[in-house]
Amino acid sequence: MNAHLGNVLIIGAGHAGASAARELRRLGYDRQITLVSDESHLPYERPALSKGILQGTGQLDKIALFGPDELAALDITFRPDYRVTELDVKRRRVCDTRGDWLSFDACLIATGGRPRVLPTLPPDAKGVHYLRTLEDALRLRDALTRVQSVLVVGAGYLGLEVASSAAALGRQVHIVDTASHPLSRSAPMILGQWLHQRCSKAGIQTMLGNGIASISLEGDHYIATLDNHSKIFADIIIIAVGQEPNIELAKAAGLSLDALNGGILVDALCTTSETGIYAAGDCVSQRHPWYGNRIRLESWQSANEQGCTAAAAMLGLHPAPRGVPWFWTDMLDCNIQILGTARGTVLSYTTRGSLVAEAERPKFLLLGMENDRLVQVIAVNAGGDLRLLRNLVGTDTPVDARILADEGIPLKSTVRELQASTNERR
Amino acid sequence: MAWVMMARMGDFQDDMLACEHNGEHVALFRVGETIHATSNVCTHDFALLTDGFFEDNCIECPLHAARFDVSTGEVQCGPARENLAVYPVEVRDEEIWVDL
Repeated sequence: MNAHLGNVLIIGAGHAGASAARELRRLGYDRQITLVSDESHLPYERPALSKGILQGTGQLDKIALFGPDELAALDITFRPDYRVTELDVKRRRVCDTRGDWLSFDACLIATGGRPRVLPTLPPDAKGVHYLRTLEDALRLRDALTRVQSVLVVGAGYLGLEVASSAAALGRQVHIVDTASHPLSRSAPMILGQWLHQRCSKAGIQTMLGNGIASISLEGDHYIATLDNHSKIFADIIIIAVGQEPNIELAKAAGLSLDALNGGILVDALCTTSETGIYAAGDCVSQRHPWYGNRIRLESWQSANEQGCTAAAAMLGLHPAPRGVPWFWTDMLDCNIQILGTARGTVLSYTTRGSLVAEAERPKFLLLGMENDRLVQVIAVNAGGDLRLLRNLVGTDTPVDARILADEGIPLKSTVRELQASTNERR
Repeated sequence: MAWVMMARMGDFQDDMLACEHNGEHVALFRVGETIHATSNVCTHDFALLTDGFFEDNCIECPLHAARFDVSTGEVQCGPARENLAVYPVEVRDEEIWVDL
């Protein structure tokens, strides 16, 4: 371990920052760790903001990234309301809005991202909501208790989650996107189309394949006119059209950025273009072995892994290898998990279970095959089955999708046999 | 605390068994000849852990992959922060008794 490393400063207390702090301690680092956040709350997990927190079923203490007294037990100095305005790479220090300087020996930039804003609907406009922070979620939750109708712009993960939460609260919900089916940028069409049907079952009105031609506030509600001239009336509008990485601090400090995706450029150890300055989470661009190129991944798993990688690298230790990309979401009464991605190739999908979207509790797997290799597994309410298949995804083990899809054969025994035959071949 | 006859050894189809007693979800795990009993509900979000993945003495939640050691209940990784309740077990002949 790097015995000379003095104090560590972590900018940003989201998932990447918090996991780095935790990992530094787990690896035996015993000097000062300062975790700063520009928010007022103790570090928290974001996934529940669009789900349990909005619906009022989630408890705030459940989303804490550190248990009660855990920050003290781990001897992590947490500074809320500390917004870094300058990163002085040469002198190894940062300054906040109040001119309060903090010095460091190693620094992790985990500044995350912020919602992409539609210029015509700024966040401070009446009845307009964007969702990223706990404050945003609490404000939206409050609004949802007082309105009848909601227009969600964007049918990606966040848009669908929010639409699902609003529908669960009994609100009238429209969701609009220029894409023809949900999750068009991140999931295969077979899942997108299924989610489209599932939205109908939840009472969500989908207006897909349509842009918003104009939008106006009349009295207390909005009227959105779509490209196909249909009109939607809504008391509030929730915009979920993606995220922008918070890279301004890194840019001003002269760190290299990725010209393609705008993220802070880091190597396999999460080191930026400046020695001793690391970056992790939604704000970074890093080569990922699964994709084979640089990518800015916005996911819980990636933030977690990169935080741990940066912690190990600071201490001169070897980080754990990256896992197969894994995403999860809870929406429309379903837990949906996606393991692996198509990586630019065309996959053919085989289903295990039933795709009936009207089922009370659907349960199925979509097995994404490239010839006889399993490249992607999508599980709807079947996380245990997805986990069983994890060691097969993206490997060179030949798989017969028809056998994996046969519900008459227990998945566990099929996986065991496949692994046994693979071990024999070796 | 009360000892309850939860299941019989022969009830195991696999290495996990979901049980219920007075509305309480209890999970039984078989590791060799040893039986462990824990709460069957993840401490992070509502899910039955026996719908998850059991390997190397640890149960992984089917929803968000929080992982718990079934003999101690300790969180190993994932989004959970709170340990899982574990219960004393006694096997009497073929009967599995759990002290809830």
